[in-house]
Amino acid sequence: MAVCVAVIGKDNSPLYIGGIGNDCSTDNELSRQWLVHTALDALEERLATSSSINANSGNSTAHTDLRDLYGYVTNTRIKLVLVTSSTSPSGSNIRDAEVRTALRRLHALYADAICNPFHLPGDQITSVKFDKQVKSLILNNV
Amino acid sequence: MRCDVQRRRGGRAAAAAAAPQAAAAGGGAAPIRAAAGRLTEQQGPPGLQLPHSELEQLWLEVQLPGATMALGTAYRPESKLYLRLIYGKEAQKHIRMATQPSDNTEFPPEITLKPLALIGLSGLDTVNNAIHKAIWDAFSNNRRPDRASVRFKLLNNTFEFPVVKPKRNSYEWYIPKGILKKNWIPKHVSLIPAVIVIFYDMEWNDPQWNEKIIECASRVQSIRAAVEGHATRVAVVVVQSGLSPPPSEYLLGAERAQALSSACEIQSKTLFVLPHNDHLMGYIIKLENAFYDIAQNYYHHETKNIKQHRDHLNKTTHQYLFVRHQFKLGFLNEMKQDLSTAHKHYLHSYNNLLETRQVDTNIHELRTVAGYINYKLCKLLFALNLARDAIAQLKLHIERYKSRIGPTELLFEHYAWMARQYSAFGELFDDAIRAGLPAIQSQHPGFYYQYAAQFTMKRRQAMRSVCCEATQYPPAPDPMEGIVEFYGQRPWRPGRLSADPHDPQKEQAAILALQYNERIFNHSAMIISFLGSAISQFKTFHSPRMRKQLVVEMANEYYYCADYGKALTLLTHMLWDYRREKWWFLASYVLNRALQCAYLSAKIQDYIHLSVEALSKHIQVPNNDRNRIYKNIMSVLQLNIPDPEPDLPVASQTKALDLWQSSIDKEPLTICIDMTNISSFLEVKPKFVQQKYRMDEFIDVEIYARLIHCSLEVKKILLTVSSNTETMEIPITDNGNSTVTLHHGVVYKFLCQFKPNAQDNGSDINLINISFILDLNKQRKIVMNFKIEESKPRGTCVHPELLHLIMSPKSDYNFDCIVPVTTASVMSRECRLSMLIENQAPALQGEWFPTTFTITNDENCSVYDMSITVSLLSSLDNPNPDSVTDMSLVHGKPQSQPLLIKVGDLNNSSKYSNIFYLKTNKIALIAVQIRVSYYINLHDSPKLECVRDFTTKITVIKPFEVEASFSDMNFKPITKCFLDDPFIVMPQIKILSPWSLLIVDTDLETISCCKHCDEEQQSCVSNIEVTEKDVASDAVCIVAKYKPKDPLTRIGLYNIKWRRKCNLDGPCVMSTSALPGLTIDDCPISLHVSYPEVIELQTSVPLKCILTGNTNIPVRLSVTIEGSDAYMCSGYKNTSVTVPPHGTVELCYNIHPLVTGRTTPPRLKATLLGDNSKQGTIKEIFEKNFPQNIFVIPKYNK
Amino acid sequence: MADDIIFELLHSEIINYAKEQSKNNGNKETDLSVVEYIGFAAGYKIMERLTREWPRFKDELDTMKFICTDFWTCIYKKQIDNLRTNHQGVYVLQDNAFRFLTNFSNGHQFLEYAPQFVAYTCGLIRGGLANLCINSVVTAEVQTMPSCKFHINVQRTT
Repeated sequence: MAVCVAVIGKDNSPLYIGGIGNDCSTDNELSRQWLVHTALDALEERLATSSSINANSGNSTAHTDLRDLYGYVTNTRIKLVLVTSSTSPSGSNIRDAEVRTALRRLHALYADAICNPFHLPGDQITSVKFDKQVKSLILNNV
Repeated sequence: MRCDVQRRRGGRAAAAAAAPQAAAAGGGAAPIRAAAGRLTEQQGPPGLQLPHSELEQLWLEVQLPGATMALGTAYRPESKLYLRLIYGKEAQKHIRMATQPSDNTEFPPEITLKPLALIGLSGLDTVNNAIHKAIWDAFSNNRRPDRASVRFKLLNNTFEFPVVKPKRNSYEWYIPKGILKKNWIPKHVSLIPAVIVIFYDMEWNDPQWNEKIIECASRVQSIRAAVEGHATRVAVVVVQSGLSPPPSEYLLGAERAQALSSACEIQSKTLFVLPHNDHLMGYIIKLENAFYDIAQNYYHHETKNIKQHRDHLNKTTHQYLFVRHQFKLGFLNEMKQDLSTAHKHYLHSYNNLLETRQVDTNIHELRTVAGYINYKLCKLLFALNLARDAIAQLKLHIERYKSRIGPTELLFEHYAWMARQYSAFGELFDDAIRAGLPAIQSQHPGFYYQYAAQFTMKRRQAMRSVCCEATQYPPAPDPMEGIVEFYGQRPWRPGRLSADPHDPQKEQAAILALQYNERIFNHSAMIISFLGSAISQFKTFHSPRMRKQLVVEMANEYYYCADYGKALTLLTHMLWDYRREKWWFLASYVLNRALQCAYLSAKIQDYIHLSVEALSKHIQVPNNDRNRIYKNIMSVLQLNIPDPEPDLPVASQTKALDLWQSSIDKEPLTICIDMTNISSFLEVKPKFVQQKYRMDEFIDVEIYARLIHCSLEVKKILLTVSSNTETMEIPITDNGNSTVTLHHGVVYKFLCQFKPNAQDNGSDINLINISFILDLNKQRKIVMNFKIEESKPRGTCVHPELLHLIMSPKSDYNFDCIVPVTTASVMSRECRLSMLIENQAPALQGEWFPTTFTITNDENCSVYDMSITVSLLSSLDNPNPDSVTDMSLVHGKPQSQPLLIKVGDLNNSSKYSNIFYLKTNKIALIAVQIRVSYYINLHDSPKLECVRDFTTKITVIKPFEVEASFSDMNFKPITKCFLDDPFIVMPQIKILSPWSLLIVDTDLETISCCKHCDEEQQSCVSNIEVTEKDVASDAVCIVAKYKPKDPLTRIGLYNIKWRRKCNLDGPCVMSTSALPGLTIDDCPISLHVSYPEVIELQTSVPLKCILTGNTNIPVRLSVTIEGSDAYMCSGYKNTSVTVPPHGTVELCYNIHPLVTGRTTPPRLKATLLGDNSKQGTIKEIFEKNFPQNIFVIPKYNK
Repeated sequence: MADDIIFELLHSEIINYAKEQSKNNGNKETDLSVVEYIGFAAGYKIMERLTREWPRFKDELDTMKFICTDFWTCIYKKQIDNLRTNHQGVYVLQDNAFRFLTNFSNGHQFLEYAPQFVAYTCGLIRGGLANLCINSVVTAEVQTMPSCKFHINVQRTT
């Protein structure tokens, strides 16, 4: 299941990092931030090596023992990161197609979020609505 | 049992007196606490000064083995010694390569080193015999990987071989006491050679041959006796001088070799001859390979022996033996260099081990052995180039053992073991990459080092939860004392297999001892070491962010072990990157930790830096308590000790206070902070109000400032401005007060005005820096510098355009949308002069065209040193105007350009006037620049230079166009002429000038092949006045003298002297045009026909025709007159004439017109007789010269 | 259709508003920068939507083609009629019947007002490209209405 979702800006700054779990303590947030931040390494590597066409619009993944990282780079260089725990309680692996759908929906949510007149593109996304939608996306879909 | 290597190093061995005994006791690896203690003392704690710029060195430093040696059970020093004993020099090299921090989970060297077939060399006296020394060196030195995988060992006479154990006939009652014996591998890699080679000096033709052969045989015998029971092969090498024997003795050699092998009871194929000549190395390589073959044969034989045991074993009691035998098979195959078979056996061994029953008493042994076998498996898979399989093997291995944690009171051992599995694998992986294995970003050794670090952290955590009470080492007897025969067994209960501890008290003491050792173990050093390895890997494999995270973790470890200086250095470097990428949460985390370090190490500079940044809105501080941080900054300014940061380790606080006490009023007294490189709580934007300033204006700079937090009293604000000539600091005041108090939430605007420097005229001035100086009248100051760099990339991704539409507070908006302007240019004062330009444009091509300019001084006072420069400006269609246009201040005399006029002083309201002339042949628009510069004395800036450019544009046009036509003497247009046949050139001058012109004179300058017909030439159009659109026609009669070689392109130049009508007394302008060309032809004769233009009806008139010969030969013609109805005609109708050379013939006819009006008279036609190549020309000239028609008027009858 | 005209009406009201604003501020000339900013923001934001599900652009030219086709169609219900480039960062997009001009002129009448009606679109293009990480300067040229040429000058960071 997905444990964390992040939107990273053109300049690699975090625009939104959201995760589920009741624990909002600093340690949890810290490890989540580390996780997403280091995921950028893999994304950048993919972007650098597949210079042309489609390759990055799809998914790039990195696996650790406990987590699967999926990344998606939009045409506007916004990076969407989805972290799933590979040890899901049901034991079933998340299918790539599901991840793709989730990332696509996340992109749609982001496209809506930047149309918020109170949001300045490039700033962190503080909209509560966006946060809720993303969390429900995490819970319901993946 | 002793070996010579040991003795040779006897001097060294004194450093660890216990070692020989340990080796003597079967190569066991019992921990020796005494040796460990000494080593720790010698090395001292790691406390080296950190090189600030080179972080890499830090990691290198911590990777050095020994440097991190700490307390606790120490395997390393002992194993290092042990390595030296059994492996010699090679092992030392290996130790240096090792990157693993040590503890008791470290793999013994016999596991990690590559097994090589052991070959004993006997009979070489390397001390006294130079030849023997050379042979030994050739074998033992320079063992590159391409040489056979063998190791040579020099055996002397006293060498003793391990005693052969009595052969077991039945395993029925045998219960193994452990899995793998510690002495088995060392025995095989260093004590039992696969082959013993006996070297013996002997020539085939030795006079004492019989004695020698006996001696040699006896040596072989004694070796045989020594290895009794082992299957060690024996070979003999006869060392000979290498001088080739005389041919007569070839046979002798073969015979004697035969005799020798039978005397020694060896096969002839194990007898070798080694001539020691120049080619020694080649022979040695050959010998080496031969020995290697024999060795392989030996190891094969050994494996067979072990396999025989298998039938006797049963699964219930001999599970350990299944593991052990398969391991041995694996190892022997490895010595044989049969890697895949070795892997197969190790895998059997590993699987057999998995089937072993696990209890608390054997868990340590099981996982130790499992770790070793797994290590071997992975190493072989890498060697077989099966990296994926190696990774899979490790994963499976971890998966199988990660839950086998053993007794909870020794939980830390499990994690230590896990960490070691990962780090050892990482090292194997790293070695494989060095050997050429490609790795990628998502799969490289760094991950395994990272896991190793993580498990070491878990190990520490486990230690903290289970070792709290182990404050003291148990009293004697030391449970750790004792010799262990098997890998992974406990010294206090060796060889015990039962699941229950047989002596609970001893067991308790042993656990306490382990816990105590764990408690004093330096986990941080180990974690730092693993992290260091991981960091360099992540750096290699393009993972800068992962690397950063690990560096921060490393810094945390330094923090935990109270090395705040190092931690601070690492953290401040990392802070930079997180700040740059705007990961404020992570930046905050790093900054807060760094601030703790700065406090604890009382580094004032860093402390203030970090505190100032902590006030930024992006940084989250503990409890959101910015006031505390602000107060701390103020404390430092007042030379007071700041309050401690929250959550500091209690133990370090007192020391920190001492440090503060001693440094609070010392350097650095002035702390400069580069605010543009940090996230600042004070934002500043400077702006030139205008882009350009005149010299007489004040330059005004607006400075906007916004404070995010609290309020701030600024002692001084300085603006640094630089220009070409100087850099100056300008204090900024708030209504005259240099001390400014800023409050948060307000956008402040300061205006700063200054006069430009006279020398900076025409150059740029730049804003360099703005400094806000905090100073509470103590010695200490904080200078916050806002440097302005042109080249600084705009990191921001927020487009200012978007800000306009964001509904943010107006004051913020006002600040945010200000675009800093940091460069302005200084220009001359605007000049108050007016210029009047008068001329009669357009100018005509070729004339000296006068332009009058008048300057009026409109300044309020007189100006002086005025000078005027008149120059031509280039344009696209006239790129080099000075090359085609002459200029002058005098009519008719070109002067060098630009024209310079020194005017001198000019009084208020007075005028200065002058004329310049220009002359050009180019039809273009000419731009003329008149630059006036002068000095003026103004009250606040004396001798101020003013410059003003005036530009005027002058169109140049052609005054007229000349076209020309040609006609014959009858004014009939012609397209060609004949030699000596005059014709008329008619130039037509079409006037284009809007101004009336006077054509003074014209003349035609013919080319050399033509000449004028008239002696005196008088132009038809001289002295006439013309105006626009008039056409003046001239006519000049010329004749061709000879025929030029090339066709004529022009007949000559037509010169027109003219002047403007309004300018009658001025000099004339001479314009020249080229006239077009005409074809010139020659004819053998010329013809002149004379006839009247008009005749009366019925009146006879003569028609005379004169033929002149033009050639040097007579021309014969047949002439026929062609009659006409309108005339009667008399004369020869048909005659033939001969025209003599350069002579003339006259033909006369009388014609009598019969009708009136335009009539065609009779015409002569001529045919050339003889050479008729010129017939066409003759025809043409006759047709041309005879009249086409004659007008006949009626006769008046009075 | 009425719903199409809404956009045009809003657009011309924005221009009126901008004129009014600059008149209030005492400017002689109409300050069109606000209209350009509005266009910029709209272009920036709409680009995120339009490029969803779109394969990654190969290069700058590919991006310009997208502007000419899908982007233009989405906003103006037609494609750009002609795209020219010097391959050095200058692109000229020609719309022979630019929607904001078709309704009020066919020739030279009102030509002096044409700049007001292209400012929004210049901003729109610039904003769209800015979000695709291409910084540019966009100007427009109207000679005969309703035809309009947009010059895109890509600013390369050296």
